[in-house]
Amino acid sequence: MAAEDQRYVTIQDLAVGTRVHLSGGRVAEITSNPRDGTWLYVRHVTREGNSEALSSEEDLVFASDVVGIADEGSRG
Amino acid sequence: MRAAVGSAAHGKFTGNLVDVTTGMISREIFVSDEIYKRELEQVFARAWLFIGHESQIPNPGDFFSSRMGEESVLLTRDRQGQIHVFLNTCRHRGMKVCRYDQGNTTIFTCPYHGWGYATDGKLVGVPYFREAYHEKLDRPKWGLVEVAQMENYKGSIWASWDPDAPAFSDYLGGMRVYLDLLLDSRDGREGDAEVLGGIQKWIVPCNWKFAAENFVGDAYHAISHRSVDTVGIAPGGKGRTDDGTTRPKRYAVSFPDLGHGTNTTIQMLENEPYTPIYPNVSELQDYLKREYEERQQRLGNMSRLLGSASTIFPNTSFQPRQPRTLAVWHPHGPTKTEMWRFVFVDREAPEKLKDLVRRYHELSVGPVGMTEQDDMENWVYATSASAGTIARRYPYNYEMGLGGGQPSDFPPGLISDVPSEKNQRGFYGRWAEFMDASGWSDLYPKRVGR
Ligand code: FES
Ligand SMILES: [Fe+2]
Repeated sequence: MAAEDQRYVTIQDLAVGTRVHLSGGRVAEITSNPRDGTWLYVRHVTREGNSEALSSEEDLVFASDVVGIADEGSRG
Repeated sequence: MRAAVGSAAHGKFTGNLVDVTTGMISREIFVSDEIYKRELEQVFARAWLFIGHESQIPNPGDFFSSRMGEESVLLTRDRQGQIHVFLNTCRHRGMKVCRYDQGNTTIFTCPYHGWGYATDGKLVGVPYFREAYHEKLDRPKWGLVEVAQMENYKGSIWASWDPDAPAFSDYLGGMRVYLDLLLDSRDGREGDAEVLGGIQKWIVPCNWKFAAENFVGDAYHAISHRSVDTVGIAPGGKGRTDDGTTRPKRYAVSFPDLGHGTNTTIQMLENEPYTPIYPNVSELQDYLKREYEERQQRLGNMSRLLGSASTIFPNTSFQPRQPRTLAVWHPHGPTKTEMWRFVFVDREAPEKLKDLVRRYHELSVGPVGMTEQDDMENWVYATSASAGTIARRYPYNYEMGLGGGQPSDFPPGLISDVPSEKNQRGFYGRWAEFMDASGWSDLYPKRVGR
C-alpha cells in the first residue's frame, strides 16, 4: 500500500512489536504505545549488510511521521 | 472597624483587619476580591500545601491531579519510582497537559500541538523538532514546572512553590503528633495508612477560611450538629461517633506562631481498658481490641492522645478519629471553594472494616454527608450575609477566651480545657502575617506565642 493511503494510520491502536515506515525512509519497531494518538515509543531498525538490529536507544515518533505499517509484528 | 480594603490603603493586615488582641476580624477578608488575589500570592504561593498520598500513585507512571491554590498540579511517580509535583500546564501555549483525575501513563501529551512530557517532567517529544525547530529548541529548559520543595511525610505528599519556605517538619512544628494520628496505623506503627477509594470533590459558595477555621478548633458549634447527634448517624446508632472512649477530656490546642490548631481528646488513664469501637459490629471486635491494646503497648502515655478536628495552615484539615478523613479547601474565589475529602484506613484493615468506614464516611461527611451539610449551610449563609455593603462594616467576634491558653507538654501545644477561640485567633494572626510579609525571612523563624 502506498504511503499516501496510510496517512491516517490509527496509531493509538498499533500493538507493541508492530513495525512502521517513517517519513524519511526509516523503519521502527513499537516498544510501547501510550495510546494518545500522538506519540509512539520505538526502536529504529538498523541494517548492517544482511543483518537487522534494533537501536539501543528508545525514540519517540510523532503521529504524522508514521507513514505506513511495515509489518504487524508477532507480539501484538 | 471600618478599615479600607487592600494592602496600600489599609497598611498592615495585622492589628487592623485582623486584630487578635481584641478578637476583631473584618468581614472584608472573607469577601473582598482584592484581598483574595493578594491571598493567592502571599499565602498559597508560599505555604506548604497538601497534594495527595503515595498510596494513590503506587506504580511507576501513576499520576493524580491535585491543586495548589487555584492551580492544577500533577502528582506523579516517574519510571524510576521518584515522586514529583508539577504545574499542569504546557510550556508552549499553556494548555492543560493532563485532564484526567488520575491514571497511569508513560507520557503527558499536550492536546494542542502535541508536546510530550515524561512523568519526570522532561520535555521528551516536540513535533517537527528537526524539520521546524532545526533541533535548536533547548528541550531541557522547557520541561514541566516543578514545585520548589516537596516532602513525603509518612506517605502524605506536601509541596511549596517557595524555595525559601522552611523545611516541612519546621513548618509543621508541634502539630506533627496530631497529624501522626491520621497517618499512623491504629496499632501505633508509623505510617501504614492508605487512601480508600476515590476523592470526593464538590464546590461550595463560601470562603475557604470558614472551613479551615471550623476545623482549626471550633468546639463551640456542637449545636449545629444536634440533629445528627439526635438521629444517631454513627454505625452504632448513637450520636455522631462510636469511638469507644469513656471519660474523654477535650482540649483546644494551638500553635499560634505557625497558624495550626486542633481540638483534641485524651483518655484520662494510660491503661484505660478497651471499650468497644463500632460496638454493634461484633465480627470486628477481636481485630479492634487487639489493635487498641498494641497501640497502648507501643505508645505508652502517648496512646491517650486521640485527636479530633484539626487544621494545618492554611487549607488542609483532618479528623484522625471518626470518620478518619482529610479535607482540602481549595480556593476558587473569595466566595467559592472546591472541597476535597480523602478517606484514610489502615492498609492492613479487614475489608469489612474498610467497607464500614466508607459507608460511615459517606453518611457523615462530603457533599451528601449529614454532618458536613450542617457545616456547609453555616459557611454558605455566613458568606452571603457578610458580602453586603452594610454587613462588611461590622467585624466578626473572636473574643472567646481572650488572653487564655497555657503551654503544655501533654497534650503538646498551647492548650485550653474550655472552649476558646484562641485557635482561630492563632490561625488568623498567622494569616495576617503572611499577608503582610515580604517573604519567608519575615515569617520564619519567629517568636513563639500570641
Ligand atoms: S500548547 Fe502544548 S503543545 Fe502547544
Ligand atoms: Fe461541624
